[in-house]
Amino acid sequence: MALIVFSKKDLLKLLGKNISDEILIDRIPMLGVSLENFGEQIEIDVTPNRPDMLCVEGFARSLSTFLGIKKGLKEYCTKKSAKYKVKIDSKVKNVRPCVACAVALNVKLDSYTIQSIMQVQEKLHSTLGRNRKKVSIGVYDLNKIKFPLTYTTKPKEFCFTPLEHHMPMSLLQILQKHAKGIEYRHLLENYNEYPIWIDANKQVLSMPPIINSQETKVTETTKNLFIDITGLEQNAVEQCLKIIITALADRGAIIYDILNLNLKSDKIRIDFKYVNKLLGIELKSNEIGKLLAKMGYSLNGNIVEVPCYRTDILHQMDIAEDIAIAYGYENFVPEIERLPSEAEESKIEILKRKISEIMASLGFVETNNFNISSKEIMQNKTLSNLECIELENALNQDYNVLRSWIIPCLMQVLKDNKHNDYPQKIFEIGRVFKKGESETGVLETERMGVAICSQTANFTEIRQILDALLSSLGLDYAVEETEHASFIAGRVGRVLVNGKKIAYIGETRPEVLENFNLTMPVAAFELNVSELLKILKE
Amino acid sequence: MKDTAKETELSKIVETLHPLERKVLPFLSQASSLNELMKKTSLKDVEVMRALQWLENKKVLVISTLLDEVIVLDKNGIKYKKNGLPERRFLKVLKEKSKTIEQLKNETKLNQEEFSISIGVLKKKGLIKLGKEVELTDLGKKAFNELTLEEKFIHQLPLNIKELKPEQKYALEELKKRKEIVNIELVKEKKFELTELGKRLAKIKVHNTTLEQLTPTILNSGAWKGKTFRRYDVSINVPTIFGGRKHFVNQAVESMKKVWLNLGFKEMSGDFVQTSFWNLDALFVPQDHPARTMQDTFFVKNPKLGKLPDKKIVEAVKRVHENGGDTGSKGWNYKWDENIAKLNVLRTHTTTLSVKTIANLDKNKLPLKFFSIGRVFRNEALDWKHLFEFVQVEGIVVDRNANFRNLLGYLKEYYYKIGFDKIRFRPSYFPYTKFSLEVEVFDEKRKEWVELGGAGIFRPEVIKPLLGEDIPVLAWGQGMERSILRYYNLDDLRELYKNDLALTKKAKEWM
Repeated sequence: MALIVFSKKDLLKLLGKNISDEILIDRIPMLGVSLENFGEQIEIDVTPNRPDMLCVEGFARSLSTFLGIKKGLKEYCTKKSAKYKVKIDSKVKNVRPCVACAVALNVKLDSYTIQSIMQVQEKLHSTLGRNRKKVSIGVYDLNKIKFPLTYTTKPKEFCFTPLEHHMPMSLLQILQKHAKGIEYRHLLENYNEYPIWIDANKQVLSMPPIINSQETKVTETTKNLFIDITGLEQNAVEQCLKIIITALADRGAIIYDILNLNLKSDKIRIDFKYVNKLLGIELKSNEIGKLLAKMGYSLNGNIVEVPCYRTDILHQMDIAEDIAIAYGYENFVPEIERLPSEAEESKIEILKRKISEIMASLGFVETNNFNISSKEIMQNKTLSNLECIELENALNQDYNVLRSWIIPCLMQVLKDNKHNDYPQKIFEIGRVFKKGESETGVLETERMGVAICSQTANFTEIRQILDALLSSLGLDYAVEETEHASFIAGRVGRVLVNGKKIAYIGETRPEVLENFNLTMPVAAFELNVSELLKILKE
Repeated sequence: MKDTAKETELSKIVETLHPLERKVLPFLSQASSLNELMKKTSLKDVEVMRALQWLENKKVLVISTLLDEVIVLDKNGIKYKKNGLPERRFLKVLKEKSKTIEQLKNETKLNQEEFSISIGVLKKKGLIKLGKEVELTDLGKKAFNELTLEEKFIHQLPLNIKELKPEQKYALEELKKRKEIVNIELVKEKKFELTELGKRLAKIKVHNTTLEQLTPTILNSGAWKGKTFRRYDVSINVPTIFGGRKHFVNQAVESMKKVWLNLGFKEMSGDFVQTSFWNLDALFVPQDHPARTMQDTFFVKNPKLGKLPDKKIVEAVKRVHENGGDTGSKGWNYKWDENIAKLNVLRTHTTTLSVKTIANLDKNKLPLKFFSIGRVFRNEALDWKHLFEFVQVEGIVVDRNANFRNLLGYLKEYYYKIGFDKIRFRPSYFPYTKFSLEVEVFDEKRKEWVELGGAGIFRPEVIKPLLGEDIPVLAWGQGMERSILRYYNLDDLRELYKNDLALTKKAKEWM
């Protein structure tokens, strides 16, 4: 999502009609644009599928047909001139190969429109341009440059004066010292020569995708513009140029295509039956035509003419969606189909719910921790050597692994609750993660951890809880002696049901309690709920 | 009030008297403070206090709290009470004959400080004379057999500062000058005053004929017969207790689940760790989409890569990304990389479950409806409005005849069932659906539309590679946490997973 700000006055001027605030506030959201602020300044949130609305001109264009001020496809024409020649050096192929450029004459610039151009440039960079990696845009004062221009590469020592500076700097210096150089230099890493636009007088225009030159800067006296787009993907490059050029054309500029500017509409066939079936309404072709005109399209027979800037239209379903928006989501009559019902809760979820009910009835309070935990509590503090699944991009040390068992999370809860009354009896049912044979190589199991923390917490007390739980599930069990690094030797047991290991239970070692700053004993068990489900199914 | 009415009132009060109240009752007219009552009844202070409070509830008396300054013994004072003041030891050594300073120092075994104080005090009182040697004066010899005012005072403590006699005041002033003998503490004193009702009650001689606790013994013996039970004050508060509780987020999840089950949906569940293929590629999200970056999604370090599913599905997904395949779409026009699709991630939405369900469903059984409620993960720093793990709710309807109006119909019914009857649908965008919309509710307080959740119909680029044909799949979902915050009047998302046991115990049930 991208936030765009513009003045209401400018919007109304572009719409060519005075529209009341009430209508604007009511209609703008129904065009699919989130209205964030409304006043003399209007702020909208544009979804990623509509980069053409990242400028007020494009937004006004869509709104004007949606409100019925204008209708149908807007045609744009471009001129060609031998005056405007560019040469693309083959050296750019290895660095930043894709390019498109154009000239716009008779542009009336004031400080507001300059800001507006800078805004769309910045928004296109950050969205469609993937932070200048895929696409970057340069806008220059045409009268300050002399054709023919060359798009080429230059070595690191090559110098020019970058924007907002008064002395020439070498390309390397720009990358090391200029704010924009530092911000975007990763895009030019590992290249020996860097992209450069240069004119017939050897005057540098820019160093894409980093910075323009000071000499070709656009000011309030600028009348004519040269615009270049460079990048790594030809489609995206051309799309950006279309968005900027159509915006300037909407403000009355005369457009000259120099390279790869195509403002012709695209054609997509639609199937009326398909559209009507998807929408659940019966629209005749002329009605569909009217609705399409509201969204800036034209319909000829069953061919839809799609405006050049609507590169988000990939499929006739996208057009069907625009027909629905034109019809108005508020005008569809909601209707529910009464389908045969096969409600079903997943078995593991039923078991988890049952178990948590039993635990609550035994006086235990349920906790709810994150699945992402820390290696520190999973292994170090609990003295356990259970392997954890680590995250590639952990937030910080407190959240760097997926939990491998539940009890450490309970110990952490007890640590954080030392100010509260005792006894503290808690439980949690949740996922634990370990390596294993599966699609991802990770095995996920549902487990329950249970802990009693009190003056008198001991093996008998926790075993009574296990006993009550398993007997209410109708299960017989046995406990055999085992070893576990987190529990006191001789006071830890392995719980077996039908010969299958489903839990361990014991009194926590004082070393572990100390690691969690606990001054009360803890008795705990951890039960494999997924395994329990298998046993219950048998 | 008439006399008879007053009598009934009194006897009713008598019936409610607790054994403790009965014990203090006879002394009420002879005492005016808690301390006095303690002495007279030999009850503990908490017992007297409880009795007084209950009597106050019955309007028998009025309790007031006075702040008093009370003189108590300090560290040295306690010692001297036991062993005598230093000047007394000094006098004892001088009893027989006068002695030099050196001798005195050795024999009294006082430390330097106590020694000089003793000399000072005794000289001031004129009990000793200092020359070459120290000797008792006549006054001193006389004083030998009586206690000094200070000594008497030490044995009388604690005393209320307001109630001091002149000689006690003198002793206090003297002792205050010395180190850690006395201390003045601020003490709250409970006083009480009988009301008119209390004065009458105090005159009554109360016979204890009522029964206190009914016990098996009393039941077995029949001793209760013909007796009355002490009346309780049923309106008073009792000590708080708590039972076991389910966590309130889980309560909310359960109640949400019931809504889906009542609508006839089947539950989907699945792993939290998924390949990027199922998390994003199968959803037609291009491989350079920002959602794939480290800033947005958690990646698993080891095992870093998972396995891709059936070759047929992988090929179809690849084609759809590259050129739209046979879906009638243009696709994204780039080279799809299966190594990116293999990267293991923590699922960023439960839509992953939906596509997996769609890929595995039996087309002969259509129409089908599924839902899921589960944890999803986003790489966000934890703060009051962001969690890196949260609960997402999601439902899909797979039906050859489903259309946009049905989607709105389901949404209307679903949101009605979870408590929103005035909603609107606003066009929006999600990469894998069309007719994408936000469901919004009008917030009367803020006077604006607030987003509840998103919805749409899956794109053919998602469905066709999985099902082999483009079948409409209606889908909608929402995060759960915000509505839970609203229900509990909280504004910090972290509160939900803080696990403060006192708060969890107190949280009201989700209804």
